Amino acid sequence: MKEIKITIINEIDKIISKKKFYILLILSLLSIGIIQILLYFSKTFFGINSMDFEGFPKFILLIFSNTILPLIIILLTIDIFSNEFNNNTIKLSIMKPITRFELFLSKCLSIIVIMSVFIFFIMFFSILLSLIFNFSSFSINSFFRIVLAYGVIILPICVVSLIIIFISNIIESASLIFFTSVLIILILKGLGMFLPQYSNLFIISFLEWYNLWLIDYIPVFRILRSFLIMIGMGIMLYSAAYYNFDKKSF
Amino acid sequence: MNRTLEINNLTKKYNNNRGIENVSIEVNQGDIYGFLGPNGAGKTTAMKIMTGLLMPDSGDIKVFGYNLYENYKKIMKNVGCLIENVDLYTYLTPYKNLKLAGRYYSINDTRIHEVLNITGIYKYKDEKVKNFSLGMKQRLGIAIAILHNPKLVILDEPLNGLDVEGMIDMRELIQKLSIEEKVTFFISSHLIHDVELTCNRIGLIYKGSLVNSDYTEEILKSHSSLEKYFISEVNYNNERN
Repeated sequence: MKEIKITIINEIDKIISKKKFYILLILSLLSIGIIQILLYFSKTFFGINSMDFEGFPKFILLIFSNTILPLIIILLTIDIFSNEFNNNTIKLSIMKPITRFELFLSKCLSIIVIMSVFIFFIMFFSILLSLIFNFSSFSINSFFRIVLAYGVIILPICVVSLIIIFISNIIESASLIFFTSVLIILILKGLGMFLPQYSNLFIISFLEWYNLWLIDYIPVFRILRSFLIMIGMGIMLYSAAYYNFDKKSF
Repeated sequence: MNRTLEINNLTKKYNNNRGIENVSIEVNQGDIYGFLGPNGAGKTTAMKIMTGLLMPDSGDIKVFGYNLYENYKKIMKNVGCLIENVDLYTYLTPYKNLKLAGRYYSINDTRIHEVLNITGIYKYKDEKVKNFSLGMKQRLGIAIAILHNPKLVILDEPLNGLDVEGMIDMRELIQKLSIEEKVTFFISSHLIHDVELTCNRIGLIYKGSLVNSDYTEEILKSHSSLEKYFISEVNYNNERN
């Protein structure tokens, strides 16, 4: 357990030493600000109905879950797995008092921790802007619904991360991993749109499962079914990715 | 005499049929074991297996009396390694590289500064490693290997890229740790002269097989230098094949 904690701290330490993730975070926050300003002007000058306090952070989550979040998962996974394989720095971690299972688990957990922090920043900033621009529609209930939406998205984020982790453990080239991952996400997204009846099989559609939690009468069985599918897929992807990681020679 | 490392019938064959075959080595506590052999002889393969980077086809390894694969975590707490090229986080400083490694052993800043001093890179501790020369990277690699005061240090070509001064420093450091702290060293090198000056035991590997293993003192009784010994053993081996 101690070694897992240390490895997570080390992975986070390495990531925060790189400028590109700060730039991504700043650009993400800037884009939220720009979207809010555009919405404000569209309301002021064109009379287009703007969003209420709850609507804006949910709108941001919808945009981000389909664009920036998968992109950041890909970049993060490439950094934590593929770049370490290609630069051979993975040896520095393997030759420490830690088993390969613990090392793999720690790396996966560190991706989830970093993504959670990133999502928290997006949530915080979008709530802050919504408070400034849409304070009139603020309510405690709306606030908790936003927090719930941002909180439950962590699970599908984990599953999508595991898809990319699996790809990172079977493909060597970082650029090939990037394009393969983008392509797979686009294909799954497209299949989910054209074959909505089978969208549960195309895991990417779960990035919008937070909507299930926001329905007035919570659809318990649909949530449970989605939860179990994600857990099942997560276990399969984790096992397949770990199998490849464990068999690797460095 | 405590046995630090025991390798029995270690075999690893690659698809191109190279690798190592039935390599057996015993290293005692405090030994500085020089693993000598030409390029492609199987030195790095053996060392990668010893550090868990590669799985053998057969054979077993005992470190401090424990099976390596069954007690990996326990064993690695007391093993320091530098395998093949010095692979470091080049976007970090030497201090940060050591800090990351040190967390696994609860190493404090005092010890980090101490090894930076010992390896002669203290004044560069806040510079990015990407600006380092090969020799400086090598020094940092050695600093990481000895950071946690290991009982066994496995070094693959540790003198690569070092200048004469650096080589002398490292030799003195290895001998000091071996004598004063009974640290065992397992060192591979193609620099025969330096192996002769540093190591008290020599294992000669050729075409994947261990040709001979003996004390340096004994070897030098029958050969004027390690180079002569190497040539005679390799020629003998070639004729035999």
